[in-house]
Amino acid sequence: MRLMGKFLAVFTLMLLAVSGYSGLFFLDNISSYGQAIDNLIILVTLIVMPAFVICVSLIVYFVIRYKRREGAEKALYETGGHGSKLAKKILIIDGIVLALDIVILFVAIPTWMEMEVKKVPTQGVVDVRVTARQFDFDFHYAPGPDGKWFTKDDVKITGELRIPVDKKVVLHMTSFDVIHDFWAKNLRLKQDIVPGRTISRWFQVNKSLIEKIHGFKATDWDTKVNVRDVISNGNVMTSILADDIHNAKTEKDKKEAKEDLKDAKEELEKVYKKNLLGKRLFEIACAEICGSGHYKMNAWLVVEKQDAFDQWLKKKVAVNAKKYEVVAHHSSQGKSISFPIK
Amino acid sequence: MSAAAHGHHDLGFFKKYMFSTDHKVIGMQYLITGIIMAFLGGYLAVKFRSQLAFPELALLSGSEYNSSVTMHGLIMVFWVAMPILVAAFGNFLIPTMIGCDDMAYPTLNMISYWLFLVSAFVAIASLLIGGYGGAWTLYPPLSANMAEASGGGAYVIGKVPGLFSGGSLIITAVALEIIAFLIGGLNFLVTTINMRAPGMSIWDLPFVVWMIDLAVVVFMFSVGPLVAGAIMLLFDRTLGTGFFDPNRGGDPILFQHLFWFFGHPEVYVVLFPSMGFVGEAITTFSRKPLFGFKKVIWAAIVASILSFIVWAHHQFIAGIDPHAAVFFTIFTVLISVPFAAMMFSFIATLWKGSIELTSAMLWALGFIITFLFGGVTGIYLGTLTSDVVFHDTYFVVAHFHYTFVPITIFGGMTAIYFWFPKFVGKNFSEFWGKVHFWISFISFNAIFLPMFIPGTAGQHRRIAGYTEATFPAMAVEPYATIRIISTVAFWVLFIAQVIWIIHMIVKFYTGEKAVKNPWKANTLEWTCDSPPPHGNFATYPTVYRGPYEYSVPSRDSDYWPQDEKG
Amino acid sequence: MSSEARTMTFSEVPKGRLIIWLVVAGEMVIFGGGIVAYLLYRLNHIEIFDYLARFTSTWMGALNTVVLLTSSFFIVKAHDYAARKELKKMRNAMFVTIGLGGVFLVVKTIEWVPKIKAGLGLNDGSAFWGKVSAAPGHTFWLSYFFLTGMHGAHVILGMITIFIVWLSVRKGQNLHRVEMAGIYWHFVDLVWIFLFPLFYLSR
Repeated sequence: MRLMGKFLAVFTLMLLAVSGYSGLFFLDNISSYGQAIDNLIILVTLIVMPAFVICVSLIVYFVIRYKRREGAEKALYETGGHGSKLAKKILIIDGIVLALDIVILFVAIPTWMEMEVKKVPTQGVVDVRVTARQFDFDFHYAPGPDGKWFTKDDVKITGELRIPVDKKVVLHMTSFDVIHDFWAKNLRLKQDIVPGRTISRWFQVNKSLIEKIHGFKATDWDTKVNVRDVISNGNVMTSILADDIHNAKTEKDKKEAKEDLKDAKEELEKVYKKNLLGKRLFEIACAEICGSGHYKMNAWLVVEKQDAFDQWLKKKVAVNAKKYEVVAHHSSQGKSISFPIK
Repeated sequence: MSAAAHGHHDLGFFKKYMFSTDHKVIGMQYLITGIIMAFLGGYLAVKFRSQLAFPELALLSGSEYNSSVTMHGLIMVFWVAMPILVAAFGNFLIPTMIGCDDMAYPTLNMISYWLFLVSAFVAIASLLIGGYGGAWTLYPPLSANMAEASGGGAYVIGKVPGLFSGGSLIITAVALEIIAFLIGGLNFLVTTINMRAPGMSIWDLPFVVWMIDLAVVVFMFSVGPLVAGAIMLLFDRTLGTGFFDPNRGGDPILFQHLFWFFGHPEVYVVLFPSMGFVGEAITTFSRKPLFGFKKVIWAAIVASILSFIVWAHHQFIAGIDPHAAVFFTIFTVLISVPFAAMMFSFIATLWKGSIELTSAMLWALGFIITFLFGGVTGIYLGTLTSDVVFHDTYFVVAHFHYTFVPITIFGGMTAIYFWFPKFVGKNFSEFWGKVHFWISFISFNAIFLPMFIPGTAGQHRRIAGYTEATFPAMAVEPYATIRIISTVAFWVLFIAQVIWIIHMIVKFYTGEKAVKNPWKANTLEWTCDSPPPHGNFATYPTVYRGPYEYSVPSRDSDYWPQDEKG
Repeated sequence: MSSEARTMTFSEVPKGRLIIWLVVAGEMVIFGGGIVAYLLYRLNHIEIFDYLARFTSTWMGALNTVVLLTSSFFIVKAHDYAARKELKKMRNAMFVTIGLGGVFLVVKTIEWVPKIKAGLGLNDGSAFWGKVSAAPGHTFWLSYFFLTGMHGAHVILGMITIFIVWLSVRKGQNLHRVEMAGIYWHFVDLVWIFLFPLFYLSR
């Protein structure tokens, strides 16, 4: 019993350590199924790390205990063949490994069914079509006046996915050139975007999870998040300045360019703070190598309350309709790309 | 038939060292080529690690960065791990351990090496004209029809990169390399089946011979689809066909299947020989029989069969059927059972042994510990839903370096330190061997252990720099510092290998002559002279018992060579 | 140089037969990759593939099947004569095999030339079969050229092998090599037996 108590104490300590680890290193989860994934990772850690620690301790102990010494007795002749007690014990341990594997599978597969296998919902969802190209994501919210998707007149936002909370969002993803990957870290959603096929995935951002994020205040919902600021002040400024450093001919130029970059970064930090980075503004990355610009292929996920989102989308649709009114009249056939959507 | 009968051949330098058909010379050629390629791959890693740690220096542009990561991966897998582990030690060990004078087909053996060397030169040529920058997995459409993965749209009909482009050359080089190893591998199998010493049953074969042959079998049955895929990809690049062009009915994911059907078994192709080296070192330096010898081999056979039906765990999120993914995850997770059994056997071999911590033994123990960590982190990636988070992040990078580095460096060094006295014929310095081990062990862990932290947070791979502008969540602390730690540790690891190579070269010239059997091991190669002459054995041995009769209670001596009568 | 190696044989199988079977096993996996690729394309576009299979010439395919089967018969005969040391008949049978391999290649060329001229496998090939939209059918022609082309290359390789063996056995030495060449030739034959229904009969 005392051994059992010790074991429980150690296990509790490890549980604390692991949850500490996960709290420290996971990015905040905001999606409805993200917690299940995080829990699975913690469970796997609890299973495999003790196993690893035990194995290593055994190796170290054996090496110290059975180190060759002067006048010590001969090694044990143990082939581990038929009738070996140790072999039987190892067989049992193998059985335990198998059982633990099955436990992991039993926890993992239901979440997978929920995320990927279950039919993507169609009713009462926000329907966004994602097209990836080198090196940007385009998010299409509605077909334009010609009623067709992926024509010029779509309500399309580049590099910004704006979504409402507490509502299912369905992404239909395809690519026009090479394979890309939609990786929204905080959503725990990753999907390769393959040319020639349309892959649909859904997610839902929970309001309660957003509000749980460290440092989030209720008033933050009302702050306007302006991704344009981030993009123009961020990407352009730093990449131009980095080029300056690269191209600088004299040491003096280089030094100046470096100082400029430093200033720019400070400026940027202010922009980010204003833009609620990590609270309502999250990064989306392309996680599959897609060419020379892969290292800068990103997009931004902006979470809004439902009414703010509706307002924003309405405005976008109105602006778009006005812009393409004339075009729609004059050309009945816009330049469309043939695009297979199920 | 004796070695003396071969002695009177007075071969010129070229016959003797360049176009030799002697398995030991060919093994040495493979080993040296592999080591040179390893330093080349390491140099590429120096470049991109420095860029990663100090992105503001802008050492590499986006495409240069991509190209150095890609070429690092391809070179390390195809021109370092394969030649050193399978070809070099297969050549050294198979004939000497089964007690014959050479391979079954010595000329074929030589052709295999020269084909391999040509492939290495083609790979270097590719690197010199800019390399290829679309990841070592060569996924089309990026790899198929674009000007060196530099942007500008895929599959523009009529716009093909041609044969003399980095991508086409590296695909050609991979295909040539595969053919070279197919030829060499067939030779290994025929030699083991047909040329064993009298009295040697298959269960008297040393563990390492079993493992190398198993690796060859796995390689032979898995590589075919990649050969087909590589030819198709090459046609897409040079003729403008559309095997993988979705707009013309082709399928980009098809290539991924062809690639990973080979790609996953490939891990075991390099792992098995390495496990063999480690097994030999552990039994010899614990003075104990390899625990559960037959069971370990059966476990390895089960693992290699399973390895053919797990490939799609590399593609869980690539757009394959999610139902199929469930099937693949089950077998992937199950594969941990045979590997756990093998690892437990190694650990059980240490139990109640008489352990001597030589350099080779240290490397072998280092292999077990680091590879175990690689194995357990694999569970995260083989499990469906956690793979969604970890796929293509630094978690994967850290995981597979925790498998490939133990396999190639730790396993390879075990073999090099263990058989250096035999095949070079000189003694090395245990002190420097241990210094080499400890620096490498610590610095290796310092590179990759911290990498799991950004990996868990989702820091994705193949990014030249994480700037505040693009990926602010990854540009902050502690991730930036972790990248610097990894880089500095990598420099240390690289320098440790330079020290090692100097040590080896110095000992090659000045070391004292090695005795026949310095480790008091049982297997047949230790009955040859050091180094074995042309023809290997003075008198060809007959085998009376298994390879691991250490510390037999009825005997005074704690070892019992396979060819000793009585 | 190879005479220097001791050719000890402890298993029942001679090393030549062993390595040739291993070569065949390895090659089968390579063809397997190509055939699986074809089947996957086919699954994606069954109707188009069925339609396009009409444009391959069944009678030329059938002729080639007969030619290859006959050649296999002759290489078996050659092996038979080698066993009975009837050298002249053996040499003739081997030459007939090589000749039939040549006939196979000639038929194949007649079959290929108009298709290549029409640009099948590179463009959409509309010049060849008219108005049917051909974009997904591209992969049918690609697989056709790829697999039959790879097979053709193996026919040539087999012919060269038989010729080299012919050179080494014509004076009556190394007669066991006839069997090795035969095994390889049967393999080449077998691959064609797989390809014939895939491209010529499926419609």
